[in-house]
Amino acid sequence: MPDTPPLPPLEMRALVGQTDPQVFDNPSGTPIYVHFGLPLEAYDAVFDFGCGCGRQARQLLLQSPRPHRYVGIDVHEGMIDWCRKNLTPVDPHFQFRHHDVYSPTYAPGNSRTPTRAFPVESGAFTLVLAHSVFTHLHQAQSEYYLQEVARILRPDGLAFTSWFFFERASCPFLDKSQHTLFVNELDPTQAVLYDREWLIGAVRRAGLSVWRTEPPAIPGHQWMVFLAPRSADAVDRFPLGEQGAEWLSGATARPMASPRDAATAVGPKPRW
Amino acid sequence: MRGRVGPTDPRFFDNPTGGPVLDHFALPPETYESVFDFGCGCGRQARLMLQQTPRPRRYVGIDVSQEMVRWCQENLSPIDPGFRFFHHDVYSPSYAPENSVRLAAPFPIEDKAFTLVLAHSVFTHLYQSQTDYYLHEVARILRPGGLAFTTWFFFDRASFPFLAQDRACLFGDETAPSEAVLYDRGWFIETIRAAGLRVWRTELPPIAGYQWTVFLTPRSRDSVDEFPLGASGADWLCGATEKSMASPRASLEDVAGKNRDCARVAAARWPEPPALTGALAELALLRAGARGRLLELARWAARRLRR
Repeated sequence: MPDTPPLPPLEMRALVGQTDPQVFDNPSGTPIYVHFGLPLEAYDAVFDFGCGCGRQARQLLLQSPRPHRYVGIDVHEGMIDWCRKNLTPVDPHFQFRHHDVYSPTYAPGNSRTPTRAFPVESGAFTLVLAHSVFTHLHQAQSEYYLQEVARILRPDGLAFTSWFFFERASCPFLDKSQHTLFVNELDPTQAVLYDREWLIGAVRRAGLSVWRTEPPAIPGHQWMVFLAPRSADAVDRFPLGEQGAEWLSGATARPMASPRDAATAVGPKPRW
Repeated sequence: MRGRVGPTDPRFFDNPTGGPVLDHFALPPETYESVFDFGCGCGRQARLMLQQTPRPRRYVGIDVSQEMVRWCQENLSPIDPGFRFFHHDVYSPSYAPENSVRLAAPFPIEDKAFTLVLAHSVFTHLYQSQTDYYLHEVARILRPGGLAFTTWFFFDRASFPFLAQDRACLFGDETAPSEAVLYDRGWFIETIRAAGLRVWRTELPPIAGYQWTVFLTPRSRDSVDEFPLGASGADWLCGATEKSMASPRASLEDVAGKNRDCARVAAARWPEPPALTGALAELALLRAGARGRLLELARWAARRLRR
């Protein structure tokens, strides 16, 4: 049994977007995300939604304490194969499953189904990881998977999720049922942006609450949102309204104009 | 037909005072001499112009909807044979899925022929490559001193760090992306300059994030674009929030990791995006030029809608 898990091949690292080996490493053995104040018990049983080629699995294998149980799922069958052959032998409690759901960019060969239940029992995990997952899912998929996250979390569990957020107030062309923006007409899942008011509603509907929110380091980049099972007295630590508005996708050099201001023209007044 | 172009109220199609159609912009009377209407629909503006004084000497309207163009030919041209309508046989997922599978076609008219080009709610439905093409067509058919009326949804890409460098659009509808297409302001100004146009006048929307009106005119050597950039006009853009954008706490390089090799490797190994269902399938087929299959899909979609 090898002590140091092997590094996934460059092509796989490129497909998940992180090629630098350092990003896959954990030489100090520090628990990942511990700087966000996660308690050590949170690492007991980890479910990794979108585990890719095992970047976080590898870091969790190297950390102390190591999770007693880890289950990683991904739509990319090749990466799951790689993880099974190279990471499970290091610790048989680290299991990987192919998630057979359609993804135009990452798994065009999968079944044409938009969602599938997590292959794990309810209330079983202390930590759910979903890094750069909801940034690629359609609204209906996000609704579904938030409920799945709620289902598999232990009462004291936490879920790490990341999101692109915008404010729909300045997108009056959106239909009432639309809460997302896209960047690619051929494959909308390349980047999906969510109205942040929608998220807080969806989180509550799923029986979750926001435990902690980290705005991005660059305006418009991924926000980190930690979710927890909702209790009766839950308070969502999530900025709305003016709060956090400067970090949203779409924020401009000036605050949004109020509709009551009359439209004004730039350019010459009629000169003929 | 009125329902499909938007406003159904007969008053929007009527001009009882006989005033010029873009009255509130006070365009010079000679601007109305020869009018090209890009996306004329069922002739809303043609009808207003038939009633206005002076009436344009020449009017040419084109639209992707063959049915609407036929209605205009049969009902409006008889009033004034100087008013002509042509079917623009270009694919439109929402308005003309039965058309030829191509993204653009030349305007059916000679160079420098028009004093006014109208394109109301047109560029708000076109993809980047189409917009680039049609801005060049607008520049080709405008007379020196002519004006083009265009409308746009604009955003600033500064707060969209994940947008690839060659992409300047955002979309509001996943199954029919052409329902609402938003453009980066910076890309817009560069593209109109490359097309040989300049901005003569910009009218901000009544509500932040709604359609901006931009008048374009052929570019001359000393042209200045009357178009707000930077902080100017930023409060009226799509996506604007209750606070102005924060300054970054890190560089994109720090956030994305040291991934210089990433693009190279990904380009070699990236899987081909497959055909999907619905509008995405149509678009993919459109690129592949599969007209028969596309028609089949369009009929299937129409049947489903009816049900």
